[in-house]
Amino acid sequence: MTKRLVEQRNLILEIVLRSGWAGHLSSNMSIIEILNALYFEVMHFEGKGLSGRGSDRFVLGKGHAALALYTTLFYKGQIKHEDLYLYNSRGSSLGGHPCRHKVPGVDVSTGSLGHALPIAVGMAHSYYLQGIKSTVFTLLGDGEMNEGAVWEALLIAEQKLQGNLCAIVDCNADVTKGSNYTPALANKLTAFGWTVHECDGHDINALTKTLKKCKEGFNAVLANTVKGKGYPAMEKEPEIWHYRAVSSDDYIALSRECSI
Amino acid sequence: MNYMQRRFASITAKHLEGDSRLCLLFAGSGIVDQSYFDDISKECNGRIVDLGISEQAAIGVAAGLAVGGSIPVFHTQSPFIVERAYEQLKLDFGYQCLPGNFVGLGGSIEFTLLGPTHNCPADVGALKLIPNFEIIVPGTEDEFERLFEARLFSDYPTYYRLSRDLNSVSFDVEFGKAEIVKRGNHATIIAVGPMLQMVIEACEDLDVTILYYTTLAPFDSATLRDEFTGERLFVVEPFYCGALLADIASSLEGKVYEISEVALPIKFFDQYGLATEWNEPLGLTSQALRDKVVESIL
Repeated sequence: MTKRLVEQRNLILEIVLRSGWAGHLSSNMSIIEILNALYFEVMHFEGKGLSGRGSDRFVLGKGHAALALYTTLFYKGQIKHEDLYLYNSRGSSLGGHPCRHKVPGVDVSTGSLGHALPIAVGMAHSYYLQGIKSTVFTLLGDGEMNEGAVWEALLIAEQKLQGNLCAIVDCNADVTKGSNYTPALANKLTAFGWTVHECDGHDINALTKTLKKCKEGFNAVLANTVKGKGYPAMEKEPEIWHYRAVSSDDYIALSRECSI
Repeated sequence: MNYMQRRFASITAKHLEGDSRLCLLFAGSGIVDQSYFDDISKECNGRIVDLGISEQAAIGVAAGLAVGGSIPVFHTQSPFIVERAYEQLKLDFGYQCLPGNFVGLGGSIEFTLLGPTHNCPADVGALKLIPNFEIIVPGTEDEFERLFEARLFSDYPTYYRLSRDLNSVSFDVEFGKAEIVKRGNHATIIAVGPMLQMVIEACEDLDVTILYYTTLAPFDSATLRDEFTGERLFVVEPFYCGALLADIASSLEGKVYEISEVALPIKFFDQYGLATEWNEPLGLTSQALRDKVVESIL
């Protein structure tokens, strides 16, 4: 798994290099372990593909980390390798943010922050009404937690609705380096009635153990992560690597130093 | 409850009991009477929910219900559907093209006494700019019932504008299709929803074509193009002017005509009182319309 986590990061860089388009690089790197824990260890899938009735579901709230999702879906056999390099090209199914009409395995189109959690809450309630035991996992950015609609959804879920939902927050902000973030999340989420867990967001075992505890009811997981994880240059200056293209020299230098 | 709202409530209650996919959602508005559903709320456990005064998340939840296979019906005052949560309508429903039913109370200036914060004369114009969104403006309770039944379980998001003011005559309206009320030679009049009453009173004996629209999106271009007569077009609509101009322009491309809108001007209506007290100053009376049409065709 560790080798694959390095390979996946370098694959993202390669996609950005070969496609010629910029990408939200450091934001993608902080969620690689979270997605791998979800798709390979925790989520239950039924039937063909990832969207069969009874399958657990995933909604990427921080839609700008689409490349992390696309590469995970590639490893799950949902996206062809050659299609990855059409990223952002006209007519491609893989754009800067994921689209439910175009990407197999994507149930919700995201990109504008704050939309995913309310939708995930509605999905969880729908499955509850139908007696389907699916758990909906959604992954939000800690800056995304600034959005008012997120807090409306947290209130609505706890007060009015039912279902199985786990909201994971990618806590990758470093205020000293200029990141958006939301302070005291654990206290706030607990005050809103959610069961809050916390773990190392780059430890697959810790993530798996924590997320498996969150398959019933309304849970929040604060995953402590590093923006740009795996590349010392990105970790040192994550905001410079927030959205940019990758040159051949960048790729060589970064991929040489990638380690988990 | 107004008459059209009461019809909405009775149809929705019937379908809530008959189809477990249906979910009725409110957003904490005290003006929207939810007591109609008290008798069936227990039986529809979890499917009739007041999500509180959180319209953006509430519409997001409605979208999530649709993703999960449920059919949401969202009912509150029009400004809090259309304007408060516009991005949710645009992205969660329009872009994702999810099924949903949005039933708005108090479009235009029906609640003018409450001031501009509770008015929504921009609803149709704003929703016209969201691709995939259907817009229905019925003129009677019977027309509402026909159109609501037609689209309730469709694959598209649909906005239904409830009206307090009603026409005295109902048509067997079809979704997406304009009605030809009468044919004439000297002018064409588009009447939208509850404005038909005024148009018929004004123009019944005039040699004009009257087309009646209850579906505004998708817009029936073919009927307008085929039935357009004379060189004058009047658009009589119960919302801000301009909402239908793009559709009209594309329907009548290549034709030369003069166009007049009888509609609400784009301004804030902050004088309170009753909505009907605005009719005369805005020229929204049958006499004012008749004078305008007669002057143009003489």
